[in-house]
Amino acid sequence: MKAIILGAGVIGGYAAQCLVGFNELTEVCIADINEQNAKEYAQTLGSMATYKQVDIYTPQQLRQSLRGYDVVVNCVGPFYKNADLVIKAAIDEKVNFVDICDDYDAAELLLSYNEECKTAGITAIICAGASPGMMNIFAAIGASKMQQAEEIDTSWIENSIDAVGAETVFYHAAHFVDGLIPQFLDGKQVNVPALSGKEEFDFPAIGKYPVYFVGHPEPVTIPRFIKGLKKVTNRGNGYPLSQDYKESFLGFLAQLGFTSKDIEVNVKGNMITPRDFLCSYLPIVLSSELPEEFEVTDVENMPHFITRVDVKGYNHGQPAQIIYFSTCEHTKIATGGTSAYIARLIVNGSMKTKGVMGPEACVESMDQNNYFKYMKEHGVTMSEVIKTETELGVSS
Amino acid sequence: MRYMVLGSGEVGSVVAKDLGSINETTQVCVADINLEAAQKLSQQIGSKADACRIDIYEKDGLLNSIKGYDVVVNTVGPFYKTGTIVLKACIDAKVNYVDIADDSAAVKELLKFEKACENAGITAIISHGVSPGVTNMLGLLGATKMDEVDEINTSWVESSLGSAIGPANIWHGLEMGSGMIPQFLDGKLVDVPAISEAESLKFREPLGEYPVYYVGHGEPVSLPKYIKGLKKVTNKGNLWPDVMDFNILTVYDKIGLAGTDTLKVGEVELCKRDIAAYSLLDIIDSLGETIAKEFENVEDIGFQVRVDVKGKIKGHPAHFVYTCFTDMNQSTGLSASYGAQSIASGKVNAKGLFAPEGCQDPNAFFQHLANKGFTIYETKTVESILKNQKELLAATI
Repeated sequence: MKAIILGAGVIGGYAAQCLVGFNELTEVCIADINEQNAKEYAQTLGSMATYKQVDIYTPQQLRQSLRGYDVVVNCVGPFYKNADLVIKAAIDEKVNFVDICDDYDAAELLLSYNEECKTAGITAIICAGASPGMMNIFAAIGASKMQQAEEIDTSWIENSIDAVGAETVFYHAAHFVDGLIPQFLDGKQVNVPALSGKEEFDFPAIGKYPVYFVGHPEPVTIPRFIKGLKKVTNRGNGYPLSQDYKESFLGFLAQLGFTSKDIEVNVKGNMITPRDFLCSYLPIVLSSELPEEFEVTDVENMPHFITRVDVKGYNHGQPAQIIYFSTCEHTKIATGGTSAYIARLIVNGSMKTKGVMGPEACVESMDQNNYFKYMKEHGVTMSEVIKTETELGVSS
Repeated sequence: MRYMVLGSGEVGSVVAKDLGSINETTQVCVADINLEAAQKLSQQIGSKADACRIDIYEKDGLLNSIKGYDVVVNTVGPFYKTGTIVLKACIDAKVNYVDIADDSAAVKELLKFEKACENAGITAIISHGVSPGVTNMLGLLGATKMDEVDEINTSWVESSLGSAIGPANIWHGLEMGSGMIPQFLDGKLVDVPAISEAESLKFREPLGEYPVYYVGHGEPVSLPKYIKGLKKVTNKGNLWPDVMDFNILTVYDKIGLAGTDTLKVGEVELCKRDIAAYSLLDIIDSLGETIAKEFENVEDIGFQVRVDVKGKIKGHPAHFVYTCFTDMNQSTGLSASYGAQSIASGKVNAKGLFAPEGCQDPNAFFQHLANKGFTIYETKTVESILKNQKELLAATI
């Protein structure tokens, strides 16, 4: 079995590292627009790893590069820009597909290829990173432990103080705090303003922390694959508070309209979108000196990425709640690890269903404990809190 | 079955009426220092009931009156004064005994009679009310569902609306809310300042979050005797609404008027605690109308109980929270009545003196209360680190 990874960035690189560890695979090809990047990653991964140069914006070259592989893992963002380029090529070449899409509109678009994937006889698992991805898996596991799950609240905190690296991260952030974004409320998908819906939840390592509605795929995919839900939300925030999405740079700039990608402004003869400006400007702001009130020592030892998934429902007619927490040193671990794990489920025949699905649809086909064990080995700390409420003396 | 209920007050009435309603009961004698009150209550109960006058401070009269009954239920407080008097008489008369002793001083004293009760061949159950009583049983219930139990924290909030407050209530408040009181911390009973360690806990609606403080109650004294391995047992309480917050009691402690020693005022020798009680009563009376008006349309919070049990299940941290919202007199009376019935019916047949958690079966007890319409909620939280099969817990809950 052969796998190809698109994007030799931090996450693609980690996913490749995971894939070469699977004995189902004989080849793991790392493809990037920059051949040198791909080569450097491949050289660290032993004889199973190969590399090639691919520009996903060149359809013919993309198709040809996927030919003959059993699964493609797409790690090239930002997804709202290029979501369906790779799935189209995968359908044409009948190659199974996994991606780490984290934009809500991209997820909608990808789901629209369901019939074409079925016809092509391929399995396409989208949004298979950490958030979304690992969180969707937690949601499905929690829901499977209840007779009826009704509400799933997903939330995540990213330690933004060392947010360096790919500019796609900034484009993604600008996108999820921009304008109206979908949440699944009262049994239907509705659009709400980004950064509304503030809640304070308890998180591991940092305690109570605010989170806001952001534009993510969880509310888009989860209600399709877990039946009977009345509510699915996604909230996020940056850590520490100096990086709060709403109350610091990103939020202020978003309120001023700098996240917009739909208009172009003439700046001394150059036509640029406010979002292009924002994404060039944010790295400068974030790398400049921090405000005094912020103590760096507080975050040095903090997990880089923290998630919480609350599943609420009923068991034997009594209210039940299951909460999943996770922390990890770097998002790449939970994101790259999950995408590789899902790709493995496809190549080893565990996940047989054809069509486009979120990772929550894989839970029935996977050994949950094996997944937990795998993620734990990679340094993701996960815990499950089960809460039930019953009336004493009333037989259930 | 023949029962004697000492005290025809609010709790005594519930006990007597409940016992009078059971088929197995042949006689309920209501005894009070005020014969008229006892007679009035016995008439309400009907043909199984009669009444007599007992002054528990008249030793011989008390002893003669209780002879021949299956169980005496003592509802006459304050228990640090009355508990041992009635218990001693029951030992002498060889009559089983149940009380609703709540303050820590009383529970400590009563527990000294374990051997005497055993030798007399009687069963005595103390603290068979709500707090302590139901709280102790909830601690036991949680403990039986865990593999290891570390902490049992009991707490309560009582509404002061609609109940007449007299000097005796304030005396009782100062007894448990002043000076040093016992809590079971780090595996041993230690004295801590009363009304310390304020903590805001979530109770059932309509109360919600409310502050509670360490008070001198029986739970930290008795629970560690019966449930092994406990590191912490506490009791915290408070009054509602917040104008009645227990914090006011600390003022009397600070100015030295909470004690029971005397102070000479001119030619008159007065008990310091009486001075405190009457001055506080004066404040409460002056506030009475304002409070009544302010809370005219506010739902009464009743009596709120919360018990937190912390321990481990299969090595995983577990936290069970029991909450209920009830009428204090009603639930205290029903609990005490069950205590008396369980002795008379032989459900509890061990001889000696126990707190309820030392002799009652929690499931039978809570089933009985549920049948009486007393709703207690159990919220179980178990945390597990996700690693492998044996650590997944969903199947066990």
